[in-house]
Amino acid sequence: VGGFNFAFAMIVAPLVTVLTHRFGKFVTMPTGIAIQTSGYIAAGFVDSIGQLMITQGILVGVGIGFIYVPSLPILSQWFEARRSLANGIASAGSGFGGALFAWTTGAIIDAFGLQWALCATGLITFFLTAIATSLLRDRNKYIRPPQLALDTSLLKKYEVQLLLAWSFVSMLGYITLLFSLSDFALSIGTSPQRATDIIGFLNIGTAVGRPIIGIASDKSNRIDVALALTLICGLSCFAFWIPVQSYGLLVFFSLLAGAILGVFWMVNRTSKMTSEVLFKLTIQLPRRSDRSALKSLASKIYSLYSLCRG
Amino acid sequence: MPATFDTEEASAVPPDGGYGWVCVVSLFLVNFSTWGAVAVRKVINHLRSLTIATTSLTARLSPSASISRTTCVLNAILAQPTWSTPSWAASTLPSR
Repeated sequence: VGGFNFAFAMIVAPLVTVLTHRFGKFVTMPTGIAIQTSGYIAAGFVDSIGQLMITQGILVGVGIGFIYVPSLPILSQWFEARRSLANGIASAGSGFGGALFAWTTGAIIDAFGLQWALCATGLITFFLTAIATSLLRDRNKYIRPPQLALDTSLLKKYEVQLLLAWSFVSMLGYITLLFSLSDFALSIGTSPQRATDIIGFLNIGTAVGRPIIGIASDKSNRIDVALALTLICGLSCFAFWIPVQSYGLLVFFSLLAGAILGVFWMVNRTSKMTSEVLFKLTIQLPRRSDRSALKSLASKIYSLYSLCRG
Repeated sequence: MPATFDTEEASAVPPDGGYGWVCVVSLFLVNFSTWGAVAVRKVINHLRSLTIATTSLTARLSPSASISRTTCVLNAILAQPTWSTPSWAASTLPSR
């Protein structure tokens, strides 16, 4: 059930885009904060796996969608030359958060029990996202994006198709790696505690790797960096993941994979062409909803995929 | 809205800094507490998949659950069906 949050965050993404367009992000983001926090706190009071799925999977997933999607286009409005660095630092947050939460949750469960671990998570995320939302400012006022309906000719462009195909295929690999590495650690005979640590190491890799990738992308061509990293990620799966038998090598692989895994998140928001495409596809919502056809189809297929995996 | 925001050059050109860094920090916090906090779920799923054979669900989820994680984990190791199978076979077994 690892991909459950992810699937629901993506399923609501088109809806959030509509709502943000109509009511603004200061409506959708607080809504998301309320949903996510109630999801975590309610998860502390459930007494069946099914209820846990609903609270932790669906509520938290939907909450993430409502918080995350409206915040996506903002950095591109503030940064141009240093856009990858800005995105790299911002997305390193998920790595720091992941490592911190992965290692503290176990200790909190030991000391106070599962219910308090979930409540604490709910409260921490509530305060942090509330601070973040109140600080966030967009530059829509100055940019005045053209109120175009979907430029469907954009989807006919070969480069755009390639880009969407790349994002789609990378996501399949991303989900698989992200959610199965700790189970894999168990399968090679690692102790359960150390297998949990793998989740932390993966996130450390993300925290350190993303700003570095950001600097590299700003200094050279963003598409080239993405190509190289995708290739390295693919090769390292064959070179390290398949033959790995020792814990040390697995830690190395999880650090490496953590660093380069989410490269498509950054490139999608950083390359000029992509941000233009995504801007038109997802942010500038046209009256007719045909624009989202391709994007929501892609997100639905891979939501399904992650559901099946989960 | 901060005063600096309105006095900033009113153009479509991204300023590449300024209040943008505050936005970087707030997006860092957003990522921290959305995609980062998902790790809580991963850890719990992980522990739960290990303890599933040894403890009852209500015992694991009740607020007064006094079973320490270490105990659960130790029991789980003993109960792990895949423990003694070779890795190539274990990885083909359905997880959870």
